[in-house]
Amino acid sequence: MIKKFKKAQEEMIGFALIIIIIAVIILVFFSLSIRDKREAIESYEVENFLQAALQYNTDCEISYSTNFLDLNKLIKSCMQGDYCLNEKNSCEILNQTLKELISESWKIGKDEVYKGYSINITSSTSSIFSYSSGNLTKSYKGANQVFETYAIDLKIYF
Amino acid sequence: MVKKAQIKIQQTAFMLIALTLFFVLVGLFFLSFKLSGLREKATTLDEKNAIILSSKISNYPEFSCEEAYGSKRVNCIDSDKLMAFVNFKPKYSNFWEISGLEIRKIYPKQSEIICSSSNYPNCTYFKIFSGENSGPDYTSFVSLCRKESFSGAIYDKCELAKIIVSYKIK
Repeated sequence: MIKKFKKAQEEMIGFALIIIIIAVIILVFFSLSIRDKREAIESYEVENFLQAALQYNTDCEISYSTNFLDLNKLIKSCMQGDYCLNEKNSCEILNQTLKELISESWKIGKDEVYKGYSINITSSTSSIFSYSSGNLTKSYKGANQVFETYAIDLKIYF
Repeated sequence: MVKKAQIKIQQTAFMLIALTLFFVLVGLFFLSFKLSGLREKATTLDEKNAIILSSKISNYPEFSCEEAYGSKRVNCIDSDKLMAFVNFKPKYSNFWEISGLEIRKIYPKQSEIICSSSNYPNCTYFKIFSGENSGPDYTSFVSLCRKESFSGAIYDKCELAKIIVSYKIK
């Protein structure tokens, strides 16, 4: 009688285990499928922003008048420590332009969709520019562009 | 002996029924979850399409910078071409299946001025077309470039803009 009871118990435990394992697999599948979709779509917008922003012509002229450097070239100039024709340091203009570009493009605040952002430009040896503003929450969308001499990484928190 | 075998068969039958019921319930749960997410999925797809479309539009020969500004650029709109497009007003909305298409300069920040042939390039807002029953707007970033001249020298000027696409309400 005791042996039979033990066998029934074992079967019940086995059944419960199967159900738990299946439930866990289903839950993992759901969470993964939901997570993947959002990140793939939204980071596209940030990527477009980076591509467009790097083409922006800044106020920094180098070598001759009207040779306004785009952001991509300005980053390289900053890495070389060049000065613009108006005697301003190229890093100073990079700093100001990037901050303004991001703040105008991604409005952040308590009542806004986006809560904060962070941007990092790094070369293989050092950090060229790093800036963050607002509330850096756990959820974010981001994109990065890697070039020969530097890499740029932007994260928008929501 | 027969009774024991019958009990065993019964046990197996109950087990099979329980398992079938369990999988049916899981299937129902999965179906209801999938169906409830359909509307959200449709919205997400619309959004994805709009972002892809905005990127595609900026690379169309009608708008694209091509190689006019040095090397070939992506997400770059030639504002001179855009102005010609605004003046010409062709019926492209049916071609793209969208109800509105606008391009707005966002940096450097300036007050909003709708572009026309009389005030171009001192303007910030290109209204290509906007129809009735416009749905939600979807935006993407583009570079808006043109040729400028200063003391006889011609140089490139690229600004940051947003392309705004709106769909018809279904």
